[in-house]
Amino acid sequence: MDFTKLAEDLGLDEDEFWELVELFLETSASDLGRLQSAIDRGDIQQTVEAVHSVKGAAANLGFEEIYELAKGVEEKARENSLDGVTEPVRIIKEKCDLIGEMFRAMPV
Amino acid sequence: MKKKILVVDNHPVMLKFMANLLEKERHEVLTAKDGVSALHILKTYTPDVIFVDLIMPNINGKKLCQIIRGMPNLKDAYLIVLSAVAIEEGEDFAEFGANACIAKGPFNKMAQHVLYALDQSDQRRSGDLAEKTLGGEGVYPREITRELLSVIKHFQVILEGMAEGILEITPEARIVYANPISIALTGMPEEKLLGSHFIELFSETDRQMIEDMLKTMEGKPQTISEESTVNLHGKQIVLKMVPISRDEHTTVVILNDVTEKKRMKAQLLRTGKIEAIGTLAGGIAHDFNNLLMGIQGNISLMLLNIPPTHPHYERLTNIEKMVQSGSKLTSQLLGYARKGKYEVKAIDLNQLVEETSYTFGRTRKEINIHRELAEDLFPIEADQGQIEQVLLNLYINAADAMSGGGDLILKTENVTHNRMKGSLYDPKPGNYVLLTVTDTGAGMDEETMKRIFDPFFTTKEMGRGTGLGLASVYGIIKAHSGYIDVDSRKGQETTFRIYLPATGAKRKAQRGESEKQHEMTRGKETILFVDDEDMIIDVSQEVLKTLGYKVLLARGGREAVEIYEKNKDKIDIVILDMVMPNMGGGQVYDRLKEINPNIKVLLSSGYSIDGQASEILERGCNGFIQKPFNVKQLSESIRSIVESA
Repeated sequence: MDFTKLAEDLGLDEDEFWELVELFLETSASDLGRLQSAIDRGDIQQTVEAVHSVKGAAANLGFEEIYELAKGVEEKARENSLDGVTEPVRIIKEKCDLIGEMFRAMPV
Repeated sequence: MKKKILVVDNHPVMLKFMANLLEKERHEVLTAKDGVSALHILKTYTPDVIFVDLIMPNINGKKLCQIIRGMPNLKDAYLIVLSAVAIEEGEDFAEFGANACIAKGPFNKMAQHVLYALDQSDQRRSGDLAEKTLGGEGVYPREITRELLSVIKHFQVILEGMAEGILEITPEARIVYANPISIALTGMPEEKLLGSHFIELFSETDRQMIEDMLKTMEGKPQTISEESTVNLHGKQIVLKMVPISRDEHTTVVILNDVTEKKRMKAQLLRTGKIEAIGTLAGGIAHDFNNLLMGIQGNISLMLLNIPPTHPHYERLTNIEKMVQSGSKLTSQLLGYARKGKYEVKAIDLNQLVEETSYTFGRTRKEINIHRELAEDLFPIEADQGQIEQVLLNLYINAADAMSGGGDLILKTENVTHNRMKGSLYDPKPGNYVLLTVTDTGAGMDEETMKRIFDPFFTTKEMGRGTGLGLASVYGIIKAHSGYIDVDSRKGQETTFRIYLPATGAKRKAQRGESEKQHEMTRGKETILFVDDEDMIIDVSQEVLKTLGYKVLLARGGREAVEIYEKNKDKIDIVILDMVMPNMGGGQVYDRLKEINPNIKVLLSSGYSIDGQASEILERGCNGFIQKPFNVKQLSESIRSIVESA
């Protein structure tokens, strides 16, 4: 992922972009925690709300892979099913972790 | 141009982006993470432009827009919805007051749209709602399936149509949802209600209880029952609090207005009490009439055997008079017990009011009687004697309240059931004749007013009032399908209002002929006398024999049927008690009628004529006589039946 280009595409300067990424990471960590526990107890409504939040922010920041995965989970859940959502959620987490690593590796 | 802007969105990334973007453009920006905090900010901050996320927990964007549009100082604010759902659902966002809608998407696109919308906000004419969604060009495919939307709408319709008030509150007890009934119950406009503190809606005495209950819920529903209702905006409310055990930990509160139910319950209880006392009073009156009958019979026999010059003659006639007074008392009790109407016919209430009030006026010179009687008053269907009793009791009551003299105002008018609106009753629709009796006396307090129609309740000193006057008035009016109420305050005038149903029947010759003074008429027929009380049998047998009749006796229904079967050719008339154990008068009458379809029967009872007696009369029974009867009344009744064809 080329974050410099991503920031440029979004019309943001890099400082601003990273500021938003940091917020995204914080919020998504809590959303994903909420999402996992909702899936574990089979709470459809809560699953939709949590993944919707991740999806929206991912779209805003141009994280298209995360957006697509989250969209898939949301659509599935809206059809009243949580079948096969564990895998995409795991990948979303991985992607977020990756972004987190890149964020921390950034020269301050 | 620098603008004051508020951004409401539950996602921190969106808030940060918007704040950065707008501040760069040198606008003044405040942000709110949900509807409740937005409403809080709007109490002191009047933005020119408001961005509102459509999907938010608690108060959603649509509701927030509607509330904002309802706030007078914000009616010109430029309202921009942030969402993709609007495009998806084809939601007409102008309908809930938004000027524009921006689809959520990559920030570069959104930035363009946001700035464009701000530009638009400068150019628009006031009140001009745009209907264009910016940035909706295929970026965001289906967010929500239509199916789900219809489910959500379905629940919304249910919530809005419910008879109960529904509130949703946050863990901090802030209200985030209110359905229309709960808005009505609190008496607060929605924009004030949402975001306000739930517990503070209630009166201070209830707050602690509600707060404790919310604290101790521990995931279980809690109820404040009908026995310990809380007070909300002057209404008695039953609360049920149901925790929603999801991450937001909100609580749904169900409010039920039981004010009317509790009032009805109390009224029912009171009516039930009056009914019970009525039954009791009726029973006592019945037994009392039988006792009086015994006394009356004995006196009649003694009077038949002594000349008027006898030293005891005057005392005996005195006793007879007292028996008559006693009988009047029991007839009042029976009136209260609603044991029936006597002769119901169309009568003119005006005429009765005039006659009775003139008579009454002569006995109470210190009272000025004013009559305001409506011309063309509807006739009423009533028993004249009972209505006279009602009138006299009301006059006496009024006069006693004005011991130093005063005014008694009698008013009649034609009304409809609508006039009784707001009263305790649920009147049958139709025309009524309203009689108001007002005195300028001492008035009464609420305690007295509550018990005014209770039998044996009196404020008069010992020996002056029986406590039956107004009780019998109540009973009689009820028996005539009428309604009565009273208005008074201590030290002020008192008004009784009586509503009697009007009848379509033409007024007949209004006055019943006064009681004819029949001489005792003798006879020689054979009479079967049926009664279960020895005392009555003894004296009646003597009286009848003295009058010249031959008497056969039966002490019960079965015996009566047996005797009649054996002697049907000999017996000319049966005098039949109505209330007897085992086989009552009605049954006996039917059996006798089978034996002889042309049988002549005089019905007698310690109760006045009621439904039961009237039914027997309708089945062909020839007459009715009420105990206690004297020799004259008895002989007259017998003769009129025997001599009829």
